[in-house]
Amino acid sequence: MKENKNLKDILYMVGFIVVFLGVIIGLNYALKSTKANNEAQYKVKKYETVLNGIKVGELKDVLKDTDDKIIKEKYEALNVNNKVVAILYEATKDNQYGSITIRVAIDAEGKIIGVEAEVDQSISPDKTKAYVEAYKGSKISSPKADGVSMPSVGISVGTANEIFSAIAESAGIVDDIFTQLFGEGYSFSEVTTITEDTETVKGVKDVLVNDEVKAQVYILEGKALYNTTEGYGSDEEKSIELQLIVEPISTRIIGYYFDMDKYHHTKSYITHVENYLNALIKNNVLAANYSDIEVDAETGGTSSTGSLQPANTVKLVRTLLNNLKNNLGYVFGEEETVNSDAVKTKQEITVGSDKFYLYYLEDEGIYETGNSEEKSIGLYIIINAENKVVSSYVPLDKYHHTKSNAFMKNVYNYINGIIKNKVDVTTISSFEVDSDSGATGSGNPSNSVKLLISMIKDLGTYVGGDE
Amino acid sequence: MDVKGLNIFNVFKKRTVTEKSMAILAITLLPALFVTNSLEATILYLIYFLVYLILVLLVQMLIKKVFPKEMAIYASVIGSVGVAIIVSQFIDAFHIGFANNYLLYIYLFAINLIPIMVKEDNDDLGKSLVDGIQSFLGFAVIVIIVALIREVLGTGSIVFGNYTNVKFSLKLFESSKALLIFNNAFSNFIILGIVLAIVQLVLNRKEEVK
Repeated sequence: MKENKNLKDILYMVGFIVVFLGVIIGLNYALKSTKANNEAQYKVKKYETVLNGIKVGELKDVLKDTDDKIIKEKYEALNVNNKVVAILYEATKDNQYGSITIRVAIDAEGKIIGVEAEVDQSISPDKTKAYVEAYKGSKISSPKADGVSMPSVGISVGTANEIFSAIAESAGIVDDIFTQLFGEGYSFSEVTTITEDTETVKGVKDVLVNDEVKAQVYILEGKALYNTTEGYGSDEEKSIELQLIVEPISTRIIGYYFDMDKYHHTKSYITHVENYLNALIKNNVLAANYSDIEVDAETGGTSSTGSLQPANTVKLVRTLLNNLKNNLGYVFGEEETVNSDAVKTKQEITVGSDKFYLYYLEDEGIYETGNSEEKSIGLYIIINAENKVVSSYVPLDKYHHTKSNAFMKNVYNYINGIIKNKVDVTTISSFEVDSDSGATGSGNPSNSVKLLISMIKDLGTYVGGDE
Repeated sequence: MDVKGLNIFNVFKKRTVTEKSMAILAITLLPALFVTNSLEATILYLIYFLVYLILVLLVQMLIKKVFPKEMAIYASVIGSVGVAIIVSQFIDAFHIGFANNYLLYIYLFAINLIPIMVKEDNDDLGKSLVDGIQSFLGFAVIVIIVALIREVLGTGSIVFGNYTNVKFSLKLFESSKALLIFNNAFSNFIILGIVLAIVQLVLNRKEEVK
């Protein structure tokens, strides 16, 4: 009797388990299509705000391992005809104030259809959100917030911009070098010749933004052997055209552009040339004072060992740069050691009948409010005979303050401001530059900008005394 | 562990507050507290918990009738886990956003002590269901208080619409003035400690008056 009861209980237990398993498995099948449908709707709903009224039928997951890790989701939004109507992204990045999550929809050209920001920041979250969401309508690679002022603390916006930059890279939306350097509103002047030697220096054109000359583009062309390996066209010369972008007056190389239709050397080796030119940019080389520096063709690193063999195209670029230097006709005097406060060296530059002076300034200053530790910044500055700033740049290897985008932006804006306003270094004490726009005003400069002002004041004192 | 007479969630019933009953109250609340970072999520959690509670009480009564005492305990465990999985399947299908964030805490319904305490205290289904719903109300009040404190102090506003179609937003103060500590899960324990101290004080005073 007892055995029968035990067997009955065991059978009940087995039946109980089987019923539960049956219900669970049955529900799993029954709810499968509902779940899939709701999941699709949930994803679409999540991006509803940024899709700006565009009707979407399905989202196709296209996130790749090669995408930046801050990108959490990437979908192609397909309409009912299975046509891609937008690319959707969700990306999150942390900084010292918290985190920022951006959801954005872009079209095939990289135009921002809509953007939504979740700004979990301890400083100005609402202003940052308003600013970032005003990027709608601009290009993902160079987002702009028209009509909305930037929060006074720009770190959160800097983090958001890093997210947009990662998204632009993932979407393959890369601006040409001119847009990267000067924004979308640039134009070119007519090409003029600077020398009778138009064989290699074809001419120069100005880059204009609001009728202001922002840079000059030297068009260089040359012909050379493109492959010295025997049996591979070793006796054949082919040409390339290089457009070298330099700052006015200082001729500091800030960029380059190759028209690939006029680049007849082996295109797969262009990385060597790019590495070489990038090293010139990184080292703040002045085109008018160009001298060969050795650059590792693979890494772009410089070397003083003399053991590096430049690629054929790099050799040609060196020749072109030497020709340009000779045609520019700048005469650089000997570099004098000054060591008067922040003023370290001085070098005279003669261009025709005009004289300029290139100074290197370096000093230490507080880099973080509330921390008494001081760190140094180096600054090159070119002034004319009237002591007015005509060019200035910061060598990054001599810049030891915080290098994040938000702080560097203040420094670049200040430098652009003093060049734009042709500031007289002897009267720098009364000069203030808005950290955002670069315009003169009554802004409260950051620690790095305060140090720059102090260094330029030292230069003003030196120049005043020198006279 | 014998939990008979230790259910102090049901404020409609006279109960002596002991260290053991307070400990059980705290343990029972623990998984639910991790859902309290938004009031909307908390309400959704509580609705599903009520469904789970009713279903599991029905299953417990069935087990009581069908299985001998020595097997009932195993059947109870299987029943609780099974019902928790069934409820989680519905959430996973119908509330995708909520499931993405909180499905783990739905599975943890299976270790909630309310159904066990209710079953121990009641013999028939009707009484069990009444006791269960009354206990649920006590449970819900505490969890909602914690959620309200966390969302209001942690964000400065109350927002609905993240997990349901109910769109509602009430801004109480600037988010820059919010106390970010309340967005962290460990703030649960601080708030729970304060809430439980108040609960104990109120219940003790109630007893003293009697």
